[in-house]
Amino acid sequence: MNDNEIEKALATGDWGVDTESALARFRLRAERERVVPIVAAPRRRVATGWIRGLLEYARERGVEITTYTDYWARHSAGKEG
Amino acid sequence: MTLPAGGREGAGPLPAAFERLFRGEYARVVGIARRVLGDQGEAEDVAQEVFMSFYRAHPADAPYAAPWLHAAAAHAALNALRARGRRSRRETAEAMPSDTPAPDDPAAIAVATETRDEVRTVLARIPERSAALLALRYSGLSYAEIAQALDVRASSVGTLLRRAEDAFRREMK
Repeated sequence: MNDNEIEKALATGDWGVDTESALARFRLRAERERVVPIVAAPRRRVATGWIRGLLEYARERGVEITTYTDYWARHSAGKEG
Repeated sequence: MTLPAGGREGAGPLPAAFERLFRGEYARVVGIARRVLGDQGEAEDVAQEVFMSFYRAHPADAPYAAPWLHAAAAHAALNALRARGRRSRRETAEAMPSDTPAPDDPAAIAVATETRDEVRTVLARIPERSAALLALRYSGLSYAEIAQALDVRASSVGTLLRRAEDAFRREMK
């Protein structure tokens, strides 16, 4: 069995599709089932806002804020010393 | 990160991006499912489910939308094929596409139906990735599109396809 024969074996005839009817069917189902679509969230703004809020909260509570590099350097020095 | 659309309760028109995606990919998704199932009606049902799954869980403008739909079409159709079980000969004959022999030739119908059933049995029997690969390739997807859909390297598609064809040939005898 060569590639053409596999192609022929998997052939299903020349059917057309009615995309608009299918879309109408989809809309009806989505409406009937009250499906809530997913939309892309504004990633950067959400992340920035979240981090900003956390930082403000930390400052209010008197928590020292430092970079990871500084924290690690200090932590390592403490261990070595 | 993705979030549910605020304020929407499912009524009204679909998001424009989703409608564009649906119009752009529906025929191809049906084509992939039809290669596996050999039945237009079932293929359209599978396509509806595939689009609904995507609609529920992914933003329509996601860059991976088309490959996701292609892969889901192949896998959902293979699942449907396995779940289908044995159909009556009459149902199978009714589902034959219009370019199959005329209904006044029972012998030809019997042969065509047998071949068609065997092809579907083989697709259900070979490894799922091989069956999906064949369905995608013989639905007209390029190697690059197959690679994206199945999350494999484009340079591996040729080898994987040859293996899938070999598996198919062996099972078809």
